[in-house]
Amino acid sequence: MADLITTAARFLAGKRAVATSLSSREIEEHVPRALRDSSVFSARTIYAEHVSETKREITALLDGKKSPAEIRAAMKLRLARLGYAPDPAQRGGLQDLSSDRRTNLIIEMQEQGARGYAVWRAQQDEALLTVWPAQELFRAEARMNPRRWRERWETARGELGETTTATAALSDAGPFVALKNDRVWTHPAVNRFGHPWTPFDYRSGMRLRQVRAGAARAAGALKGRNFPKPARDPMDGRVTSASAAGMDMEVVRAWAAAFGDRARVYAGRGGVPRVAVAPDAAAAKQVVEAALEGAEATAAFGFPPEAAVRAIGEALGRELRPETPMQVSASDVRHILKAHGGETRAGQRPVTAEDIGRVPETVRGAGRWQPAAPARSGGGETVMFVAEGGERVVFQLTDGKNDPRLKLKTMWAEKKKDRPAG
Amino acid sequence: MLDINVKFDGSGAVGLLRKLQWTFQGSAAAAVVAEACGDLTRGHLRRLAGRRHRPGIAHNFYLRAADAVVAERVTGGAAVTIAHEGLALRYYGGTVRPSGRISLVTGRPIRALAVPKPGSGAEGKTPGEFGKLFVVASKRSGKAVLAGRGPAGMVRVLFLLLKSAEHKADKSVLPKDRAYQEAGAEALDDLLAETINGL
Repeated sequence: MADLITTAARFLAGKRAVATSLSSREIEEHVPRALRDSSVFSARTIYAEHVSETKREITALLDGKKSPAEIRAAMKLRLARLGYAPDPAQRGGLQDLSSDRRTNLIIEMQEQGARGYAVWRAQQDEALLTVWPAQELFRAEARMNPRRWRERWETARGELGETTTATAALSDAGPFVALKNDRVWTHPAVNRFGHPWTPFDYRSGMRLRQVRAGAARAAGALKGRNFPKPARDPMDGRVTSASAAGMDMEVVRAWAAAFGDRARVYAGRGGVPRVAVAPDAAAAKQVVEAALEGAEATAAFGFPPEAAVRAIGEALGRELRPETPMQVSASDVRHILKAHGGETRAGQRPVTAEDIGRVPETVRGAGRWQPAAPARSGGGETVMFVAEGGERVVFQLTDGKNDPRLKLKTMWAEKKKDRPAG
Repeated sequence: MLDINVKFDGSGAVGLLRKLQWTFQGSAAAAVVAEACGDLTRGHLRRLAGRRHRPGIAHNFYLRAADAVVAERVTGGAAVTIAHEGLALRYYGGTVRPSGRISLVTGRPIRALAVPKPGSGAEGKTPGEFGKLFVVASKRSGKAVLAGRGPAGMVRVLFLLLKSAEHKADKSVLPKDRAYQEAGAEALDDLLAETINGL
């Protein structure tokens, strides 16, 4: 895919297209949120190519390069080519994958989710949260049968009690005002998807608008100078995890398998099944870009493959938890480029930014894991991947009690002629 | 894709105050000016959505444009980006011609624009979404249309086939420059007031 311009497009591109025969209800009940949030799917859509192509087309729309009508037409033609024929009793309805209603819903929800995230992310800034500390949920588009937003809002307010800044709604039109990072925005009664950004429900016609500090005080949402603090971006290179307790583990494993080395199903505390999802390899490239610009960034880029987990465990002399992600930080990228990017030792070639960006592929390619000398990484438990292509990639295991990570510490590249044969 | 760049300056006491503010709050000031312009643009497009959106068309062009507004600080000012197909065409105007790409429907290069006929039910749709359509052309005028058959077998014209289409520039799609300056200045005042009040 060509370079993506907008945050919204990158947000959608980072998701995994998953084909499924499950219904919406089954997905909500049996697919952990960490997996759902990282997936693009459509209920009862088993055509993997169709889901994947639709995702690609909507990503182009987010960069201003396609219209909904073009995408809708392409979706219908593709389904026809794949041999899809709707049940005559469902033709034209939401369960007909090729209907206007269904195709429009898919485009609208994906577009709004990605756009909503991009705006939310841009607004997580201390100065912006000082000038516009609060926001209001309001009706931007009329609906024949509007949902009962006042009831939903008041349910959330009631449950959150004194911990919320949400103001009382006086009618079905609100006002629904609260500080931007208030928990009311992610309360399931208010946002059925659990995100602090739009959409808040399927085709709701509701949007968010910002409220200035003065107006937020007048509404009672802002007290004095209790401005909200910028929230951590859940998509910025982090591993997300969720409980899979009570779910059909066959479904959970099958969904996680679609993510390959980006997802791990594991036993959490007390043996409770959990799922962890890491960003894709593109996250590592973004960290390298940030490092070159002098910025700070850290991102995980997947989990070691199953065989590598065993090999790393053997190299370390103890078991490696399967949910240990590999991670790279901008400061380590700069260290690698400084130490191994220019003048190199005999038999080595300079490491480039591209080499570092390719680490996710390198460590999943041909080679072997072995213990590394601690001096190479500044101490701690270290392990090195010896790639057949000549790269030597050293990771340090940081063993936080519940948060183990394999951090990329250094790498160098040996010239082909100097590497021992075999 | 539409990009709006805003730069601020001033003279006299206000100019001096702004210079001081940029010195001490440069990065924060740029961020709030950007967001103020973004917020203004969002509100403007949402109002247009209320006035211009035609019922029966699934996707609300202006509301979607409002959703696409993202503001950011850039060197020396602020930038508002609206990555939304068709908005720049409305703002700047221009001539639209067939792209020549291969049609997904016919498998042949596209040589004409299919413009939905108002009131035909084709608005907001593409020819590929209809069943069998056929071309009806007039030898005398050279004009052509895409038509289909309704449920009772009646022929109805759905699309006009055109070699090109002219769009007049519509500057009302975005707020006026002055509104951007006022929105930015108001946000800078708020930033200053909220900062000073906390000292």
